Amino acid sequence: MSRIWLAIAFLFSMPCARAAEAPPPADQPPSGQPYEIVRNDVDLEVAPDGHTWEMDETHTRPLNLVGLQALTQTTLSYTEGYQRLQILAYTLKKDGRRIDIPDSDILKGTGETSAPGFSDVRTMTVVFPNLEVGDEAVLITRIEQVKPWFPGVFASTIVYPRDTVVREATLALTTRGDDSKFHITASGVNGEQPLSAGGKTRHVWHYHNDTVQTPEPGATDDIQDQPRVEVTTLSDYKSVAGYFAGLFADKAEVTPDISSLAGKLTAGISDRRAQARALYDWVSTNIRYVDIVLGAGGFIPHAAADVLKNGYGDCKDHVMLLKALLAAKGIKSASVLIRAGASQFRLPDAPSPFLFDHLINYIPEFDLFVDSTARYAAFDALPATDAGKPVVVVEEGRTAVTPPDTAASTSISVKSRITVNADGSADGNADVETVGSNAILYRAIMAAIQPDRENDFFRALLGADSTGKLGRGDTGALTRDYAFSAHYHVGHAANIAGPGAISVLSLGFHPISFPSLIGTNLPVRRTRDYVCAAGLYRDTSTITLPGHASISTLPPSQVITAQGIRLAVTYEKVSPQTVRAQTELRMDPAGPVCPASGYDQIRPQLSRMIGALLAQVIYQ
Amino acid sequence: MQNRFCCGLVAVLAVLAVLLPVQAMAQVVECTPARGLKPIMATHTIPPYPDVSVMTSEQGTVLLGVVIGKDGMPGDVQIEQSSGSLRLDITARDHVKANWRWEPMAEACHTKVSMRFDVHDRQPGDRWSPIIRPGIADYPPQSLKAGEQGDSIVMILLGQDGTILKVGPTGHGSGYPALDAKSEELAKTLRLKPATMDGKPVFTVVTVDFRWVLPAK
Repeated sequence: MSRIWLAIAFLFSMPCARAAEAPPPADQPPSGQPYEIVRNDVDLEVAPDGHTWEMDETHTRPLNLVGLQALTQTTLSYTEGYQRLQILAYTLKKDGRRIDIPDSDILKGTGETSAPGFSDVRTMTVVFPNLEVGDEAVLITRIEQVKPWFPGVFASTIVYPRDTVVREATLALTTRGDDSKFHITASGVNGEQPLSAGGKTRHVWHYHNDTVQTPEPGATDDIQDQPRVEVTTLSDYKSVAGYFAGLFADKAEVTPDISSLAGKLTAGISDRRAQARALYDWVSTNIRYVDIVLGAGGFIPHAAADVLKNGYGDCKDHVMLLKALLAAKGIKSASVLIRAGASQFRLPDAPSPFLFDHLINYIPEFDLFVDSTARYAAFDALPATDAGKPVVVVEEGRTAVTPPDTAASTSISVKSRITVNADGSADGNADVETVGSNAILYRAIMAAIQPDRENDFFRALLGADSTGKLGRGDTGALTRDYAFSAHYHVGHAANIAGPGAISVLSLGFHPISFPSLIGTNLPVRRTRDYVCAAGLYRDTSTITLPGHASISTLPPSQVITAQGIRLAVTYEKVSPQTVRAQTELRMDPAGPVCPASGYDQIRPQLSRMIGALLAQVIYQ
Repeated sequence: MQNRFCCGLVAVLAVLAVLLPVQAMAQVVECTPARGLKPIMATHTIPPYPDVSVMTSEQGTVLLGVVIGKDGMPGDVQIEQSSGSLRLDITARDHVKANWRWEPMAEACHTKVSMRFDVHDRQPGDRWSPIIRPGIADYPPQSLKAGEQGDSIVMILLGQDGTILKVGPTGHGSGYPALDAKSEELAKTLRLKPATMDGKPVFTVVTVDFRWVLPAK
């Protein structure tokens, strides 16, 4: 729940990030500080049974209009029956006046999910009155965990931001009982010597950050890299698995209905992998995804039989039903905890059941991870957000890593033919073949475009007076590869009244954005590891100019390489008016994360690659 | 009666200059009035009751050893006897160190400070106290004329039926007698519900913050 600047990473439930439809990472905030944290005090007391009492006081000062916009309204959430939340808020004006927000003006709401679903999450929204640049928005909360999510378990991670000025932050943690039962990891903060009295131990840490770290595009968000305090009563991830195993124990029972369905779906299929695929396809296609977060339902799935009866469920429900169907055919599977919605590729040092936001299946017999909530994912393909992620295999009590994307597992291949007309318009065709996570992505995109809005789609891509039609293929088929085509007219492609130049990849419809894959806004330097794109991307374009034009100069063909990345660009003059250009980008990094330490060496080559992609064909 | 009412509710502060032997600070003489010990009372305030201590019903009395410098500033402040709560101990220690002052003296000396926290009493100055903003019509004319403003925190004792049995000051006044008196007068007109215990109303003490603010000119 990185809810605000000082993110207390309590994930109150597992809301099931839907991998295939998860939004791309938010753009990094622009440079220039929108606000600063003047003061943050957290006083947290924890009982060994998981009860907590917490006071959090934060003074935040907007420094410009962007910051003002961000701070004017704050929403906090809690789950009724499990937590109590009290809010005290006021605006502290520059001249020292305090403008309180009466309790009656704190807006109370229900539900937090944006997906279809049910939730008993309650919200309180504070609107700071008369807040202006230079004032302080003061938010004081009392939070009590009156009923632990997991009896006897406490785990929390307090992460301090490096990209925000923090004048003064203090965290006081008081543990009750045997302090040695709390495993504490602190980094990037200044700790005081713990004190003990009256059966309690008090730990205090201080943090301040006067030097703002510039955001780095694509940087990973691993907790280990950030100033933090992690506290947990769990000694290892096997314990985390144990807790979930207990919650899931009786949820995947094979009932007569489930057994009957499994038999029906696999009738005539003898190959066990093919049987598993058939069962997966049915769950993926027929169980509607609905987000359900009610009380401990954020962690506890419904019984497989109920999911089957209802025809809908969230990620946990999907997993239980698929597990039961597989079991009905004698195929063992496990539940897998994963953090799909974050750029995190290492499990934090402090084991916690609250780290995960998604559940998928693992089938040991085929050494295969599958995500049936990713509506467009084939049985043997994971969405990019699930790839290369550390996971906990619940029933096996172990950690693992899902297979990362590679050039062999995911690709896009485009063949384009574009004819530029004498009036400067152009007509083109593109045949696109996608594989792996790119197939999942493009199925989702193609399925989302309304059939009667295709011209709008092409106009947005290709500019005014453009039209087009898509050949979408079968977006619902859960195969590893997916092909689609585009037939389009570009209203204004080139002005060829006289000598000029065209950039091949800028003309017409090209679904691969090579510069984005390489890194359009290559930062000058990197201090943090970053997510590396992977895959094989190929565009073969044949462009024909009108008869009165003739191609005079082609860019040089070239190959540029940089640690796991290879760009090959070739140009061929097929006739005086026709050029064929082939662009192939093979990205096969050693893993899903590229080290910041190697960036300086490869940046010049990456920069050259982006330059090579802009090369122009000159015509007379 | 009013004093008893207040003393029973407010964390009791007491300067215990000679009650306990000095050990760790043997070289520093004990403070006495004869040596010029004179507190600046306005600085001898009570810290806000820590929120988590309220939530967890922590209470107790902490004894602090304070070395007062020649300039009247507290130098070393030690927790000599715990209240049983580290949070309360540290709150008291930090508050005394940051806020309490004495008149300058000829030499540094050592004294003791006892501070009692009783969670059953609403702490005066509790920031969760409801705030009432009296209107301009409620302003005492002389205060209006003098431009007096400030927070006057008043304690109210409610009977089980909600009757206001007593209204009194908390020691956190506005600094203006007229505003404080008017606050108590207004407090008597409030309609409040007593707290309940096991579903039954009980005698209840609440503090209310009367915030006197003049309209901008």
